[in-house]
Amino acid sequence: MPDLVLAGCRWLESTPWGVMVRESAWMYPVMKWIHFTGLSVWFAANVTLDRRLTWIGFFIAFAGGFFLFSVEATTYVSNPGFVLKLAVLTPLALWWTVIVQNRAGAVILWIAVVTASVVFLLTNAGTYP
Amino acid sequence: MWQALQHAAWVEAIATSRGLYGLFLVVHYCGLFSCVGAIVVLDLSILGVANRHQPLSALVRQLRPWTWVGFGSSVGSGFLLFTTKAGSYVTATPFLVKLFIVVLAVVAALIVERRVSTWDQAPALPLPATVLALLSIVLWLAAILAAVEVPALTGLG
Repeated sequence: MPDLVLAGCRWLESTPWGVMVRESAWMYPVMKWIHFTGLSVWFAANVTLDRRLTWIGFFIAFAGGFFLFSVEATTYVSNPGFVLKLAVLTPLALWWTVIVQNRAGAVILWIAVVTASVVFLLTNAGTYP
Repeated sequence: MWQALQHAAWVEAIATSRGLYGLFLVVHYCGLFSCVGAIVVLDLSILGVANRHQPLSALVRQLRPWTWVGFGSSVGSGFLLFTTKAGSYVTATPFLVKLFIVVLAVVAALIVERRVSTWDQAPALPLPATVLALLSIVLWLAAILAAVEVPALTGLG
């Protein structure tokens, strides 16, 4: 990872919200809840091609994911599955669901994003699942 | 019985293979996003928050396969994931709470699906429609919350 990215990740971990979610007993699963809720809405909004709801779902997922990421950013960012998901597949899925709006392609991208996330989960060296 | 299931040869094959376990996790997540998402989007449409210019009966036809194919694949893969630690899951309260909420949420979703075409013809949205749609959203959100609390509270998963 480039030094600049790692420095940014270290900063995220030291932010008040990074510390708060890491040290709290209940906030981590709640952020996962928000993340999954957003993903569900994002996914299905694409079925009915409701562009506004697609954005809403994306932002809910992004908000939850951002806090989850802040907890152990340096560890996550050194995981290939995570990097693939964050830097390539998620932007691609966003572009596809908001601009292209093709259902079949979205499903394939979706499965790719989830697969990268599961690879990340199963190979993650961090403390949090 | 659950212990025996957990130690069956095919279950141990899943439990010891990261590829198989990961595959079922992918199916479980994709299925649940599709199922919960389709139901919540239908509920939001009933409440007039989403898809405002489409008739509800057309929306339910469009969303139904995503709901039930997603549900089926999520339950199927979920059962396979469950078998790998069946003995522990059956005594884990958060897991049982999650299953109970999912059953309630499925009942709510089925009632909404059955009745949605009659609401389409009504001049104004009937009160039961609003109540059922809100209840369905709350139950599915509660199901996801219970689901993420399973690993957080029990260490399983």
